[in-house]
Amino acid sequence: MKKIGNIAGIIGLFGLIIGLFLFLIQPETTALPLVIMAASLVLIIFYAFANFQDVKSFFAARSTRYGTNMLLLVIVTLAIIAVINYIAVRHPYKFDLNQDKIYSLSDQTLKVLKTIKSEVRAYAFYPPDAPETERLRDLFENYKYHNNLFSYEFIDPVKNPERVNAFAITSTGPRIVLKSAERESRVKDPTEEGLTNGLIAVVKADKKKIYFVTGHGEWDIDSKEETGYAITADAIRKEGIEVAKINIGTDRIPQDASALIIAGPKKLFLPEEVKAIGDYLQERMGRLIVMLEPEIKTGLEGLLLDYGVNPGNDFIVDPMSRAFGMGASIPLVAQYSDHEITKGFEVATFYPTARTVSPVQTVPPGTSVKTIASTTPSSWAETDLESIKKGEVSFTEGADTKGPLSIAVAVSRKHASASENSPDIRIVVFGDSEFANNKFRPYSGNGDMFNNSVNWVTQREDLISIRPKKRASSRIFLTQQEANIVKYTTMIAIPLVFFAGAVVLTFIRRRK
Amino acid sequence: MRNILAIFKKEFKIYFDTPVAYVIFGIFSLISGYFFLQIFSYFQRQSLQFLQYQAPQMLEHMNLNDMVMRPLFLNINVFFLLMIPVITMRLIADEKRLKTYELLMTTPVSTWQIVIGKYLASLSVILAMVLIVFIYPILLSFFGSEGGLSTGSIEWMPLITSGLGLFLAGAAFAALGIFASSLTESQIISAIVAFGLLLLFWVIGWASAGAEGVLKEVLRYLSILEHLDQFTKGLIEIKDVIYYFSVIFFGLFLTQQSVSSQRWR
Amino acid sequence: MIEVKGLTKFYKQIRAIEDVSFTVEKGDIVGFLGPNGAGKTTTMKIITGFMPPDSGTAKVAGFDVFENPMEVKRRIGYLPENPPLYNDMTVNDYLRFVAEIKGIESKKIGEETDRVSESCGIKEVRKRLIAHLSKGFRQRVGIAQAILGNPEIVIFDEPTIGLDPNQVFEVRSLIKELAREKTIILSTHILPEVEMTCRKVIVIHKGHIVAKEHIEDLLRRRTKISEMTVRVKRFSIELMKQIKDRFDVKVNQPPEMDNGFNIIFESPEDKREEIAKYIVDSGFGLLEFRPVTLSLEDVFRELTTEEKTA
Ligand SMILES: Nc1ncnc2c1ncn2[C@@H]1O[C@H](COP(=O)(O)OP(=O)(O)OP(=O)(O)O)[C@@H](O)[C@H]1O
Ligand SMILES: [Mg+2]
Repeated sequence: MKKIGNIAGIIGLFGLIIGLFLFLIQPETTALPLVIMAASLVLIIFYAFANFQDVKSFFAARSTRYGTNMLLLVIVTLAIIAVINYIAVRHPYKFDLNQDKIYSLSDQTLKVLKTIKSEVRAYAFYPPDAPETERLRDLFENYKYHNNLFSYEFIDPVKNPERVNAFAITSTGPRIVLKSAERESRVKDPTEEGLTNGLIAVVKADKKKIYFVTGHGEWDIDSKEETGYAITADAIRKEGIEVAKINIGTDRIPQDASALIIAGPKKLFLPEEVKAIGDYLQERMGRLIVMLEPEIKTGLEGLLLDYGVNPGNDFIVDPMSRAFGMGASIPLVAQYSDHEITKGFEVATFYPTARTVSPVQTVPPGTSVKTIASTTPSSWAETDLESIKKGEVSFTEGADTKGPLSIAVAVSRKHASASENSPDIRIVVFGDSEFANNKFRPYSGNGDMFNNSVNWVTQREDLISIRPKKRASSRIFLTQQEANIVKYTTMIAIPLVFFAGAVVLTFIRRRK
Repeated sequence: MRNILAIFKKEFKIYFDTPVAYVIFGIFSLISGYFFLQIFSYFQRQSLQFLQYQAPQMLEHMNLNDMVMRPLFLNINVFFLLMIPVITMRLIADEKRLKTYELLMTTPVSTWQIVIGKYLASLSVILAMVLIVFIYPILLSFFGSEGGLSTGSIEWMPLITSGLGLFLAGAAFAALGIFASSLTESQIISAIVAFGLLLLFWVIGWASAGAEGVLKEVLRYLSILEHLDQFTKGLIEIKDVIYYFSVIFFGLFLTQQSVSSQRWR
Repeated sequence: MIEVKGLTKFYKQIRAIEDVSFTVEKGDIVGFLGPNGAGKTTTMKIITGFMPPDSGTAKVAGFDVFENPMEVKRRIGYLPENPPLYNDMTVNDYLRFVAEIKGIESKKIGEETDRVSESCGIKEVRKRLIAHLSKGFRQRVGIAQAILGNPEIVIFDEPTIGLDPNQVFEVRSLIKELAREKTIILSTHILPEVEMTCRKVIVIHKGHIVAKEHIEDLLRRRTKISEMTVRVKRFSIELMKQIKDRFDVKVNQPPEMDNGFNIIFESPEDKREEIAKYIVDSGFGLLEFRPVTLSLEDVFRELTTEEKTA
């Protein structure tokens, strides 16, 4: 009985530990550890029962009394230590003893942090081993240090797909979301500059709202059909941007418009409408995304030319797309410029029936026009549009242009008088409008391409620029001889001194 | 105070009058020298490569503090996990084995005095090891001034904070080590238990990688290797200092309890 | 000076001592006598405060060992069963260290270590490593350590173990010397040691105290005049027979004895003179005629059986 009891006690103890361990490490609560612990408890009770006499005298002994006292003392001490540490964590204080204070924040950031009056939480979707993580954590800690309304959380995107979805994070889009009670902003660049600008956006900016222009056969943001834009609109809403429609023929462009989007018009814009858009851009530092289609004249051509964008009268053909299971009329883009929209983009995007849009030869003053996406070298711009209808396209030397072809451009313009930090006019023009519709949006990087463009054009904050700090370089070049001295000193001389000391001492002691 | 000093002096003598300390220093300097040489020669090769390929902006990134001394201190921190149990293993276990425990426990010295005196002696060994690490940057500071290619010099302040951090880390390890030593008569078992305890505190750090949210932060904070990081950057954060002191105090407190339990057990 | 009441100590299931009570007066020198495993060391460890009893109390100079250990430790010099020595230290360093933790004033440490080295005869080994000392010298350093600082009470656990006969003699005289001013308890399982050094004796056997008495009483107990041993030059069974018949006593011959036998008197009457005379006269050649001395084991047997009958 007693022997069995002892065995039961040991098994019970182990069971309890294992159960507790499982309970702590399991990702979600399951019954197994609880069952193990309950069974173990039963075994331990059995042990106590079998050894009743021992257990009784154990509880009567002085050592038990002192033992429990000690245990209590240890627990109390532990609790006090925990409280002290908690206070220390909540009220951080630190000394930066570096010459260049490289681990301290810039004055601009400190100023911005001072303006934060309500809680802001950063959600950073980086796996623990990502190269950015460490530096980012330092930055976050620093922000927190200066204003404890700021908090942060790292989320491993591999382990938390549901949160990735909830935040609509994509592999090529921004991975840091800054959220306050009422607003959020997304930060693409995991640097102090990026974060601080993101903070400004969260603290200062109004809620963003974009308007899809209607009235010229544009794709419908309420339509769930393949050619509709409902899913795309939802994706934008998920990023905290409001989406609405506007008929600029009848309504004025509202004050709260962060940007206009013209997605695949089929009919001509009236001159008044074009003027309204032009005025919006010019006077209100307007923002615009235009998505064109081949062959269709929209009446916006003149406006676009004003901003240095030339929509080609052509049709892009790319035989290579067949390799991806697409028709030749769906050119593929795998080459992006270093523009903010496409920075770090590494996936292909597809543009069903597209025309070229390219920067004009001589861009107007104060304007920057940049190709952000180009097709592959195997593509060409077919100018014989009739041949397409017949289905017999081929590259014609001289008439057609060989790839890579510019398929999307980004424009930004500043007034001559504007100061460095004042907002600019921004336009993105795509030679295609279907790439972001319900059907094609999920293809590869298409959705991101569109969202990034929306984010870029809606950015309106007084951006600040912070030069990343870095330690002054200190380097050393040793001559061969010096290198040898270092080597032999560290690996031989120093250890030898100690070992020799040990040997000498042993001999001296042997005589004593 | 006098008693602490007496115990300290005796332990100090046993460390430094016998070959023990010197063998420990020999092994330590061999390993840390190896770490240093590896890291430094990699740094050296990289600098030379950038020089050859005419990549001045990359060359501008090369920094002895960040790229040599910092990883060196972090590596030694890990090595301390193995080394310090060896330093502390005999402190109390050997008294029990030699039966000198009976002498200590029947003379008018309090258990706190015994524990602190012994602990301070082990700190003197750890301090010496930290000082050994400083030989390397001092050695480097004599070289490289000719030829004009070397620029800047080692920044000493971050090194001093690193040294301080390493010493505190070692002191924290030693506090757990002396506790392990108070649990047994055998030095070997004592060293194994100490290493196990330290490993546990280390593994907590790995576990934090898998955890999420508050638990992750708590585990990260508990992890014994995390707290040197800021020191090696030249930053002294109060919370890191508090952490180390907490571990030290708790370790010594447990040791004291364990030693005085002899009186009633 | 020392007052022990009802001490009981179990090691797990093993009973080491049970209900041990005794008192030692100031200036007493008490021998703690018992065979191996009797519980001597256990009792001493409890008195010195090294180990707590399971039940019972021990008071030293009026202070309870458990409640007020510091006061007790200040007054006791203790030589444990194994001398508590650091092998890695020299004798000198060791004695200085012990002097320091005993709280001896810094100025007096030199003088004090000199004194104990002198009286324990370890002067010539003071510079040597303890690891290199012989067993006897280790024991002496242990004794030196115990009397360092002139404690009022000295407790020696088997002080003469491992010493050669000369050293044993010296240590015994040292103890006698000490006894003039101190209270001493020493444990041993050697009966003559107690006879030679102690004034009182406490006999412990299997964890129980079986006798507490003055040394004279023990001596009396030890030499039983009711039993005599006879050895003769020319032994014959005839002699045994004659004595048995003539003096009305019992005789027996222990197997290991081939030239003698024991005589056991059954009546209180003292017949020794006549018997001796008779043997001499009968021409057997008397070599030896003495009371039977009891071995330690016999004393215990005696004591334990006596207790049972009493
Ligand atoms: N640490 C221990 N664990 C278990 N039993 C022990 C321990 N120490 C002593 N004992 C037991 O307690 C009993 C008394 O031991 P103690 O050492 O007091 O005897 P002793 O009279 O000093 O004997 P000796 O003359 O051999 O030194 C013995 O039976 C012994 O086996
Ligand atoms: Mg004994």
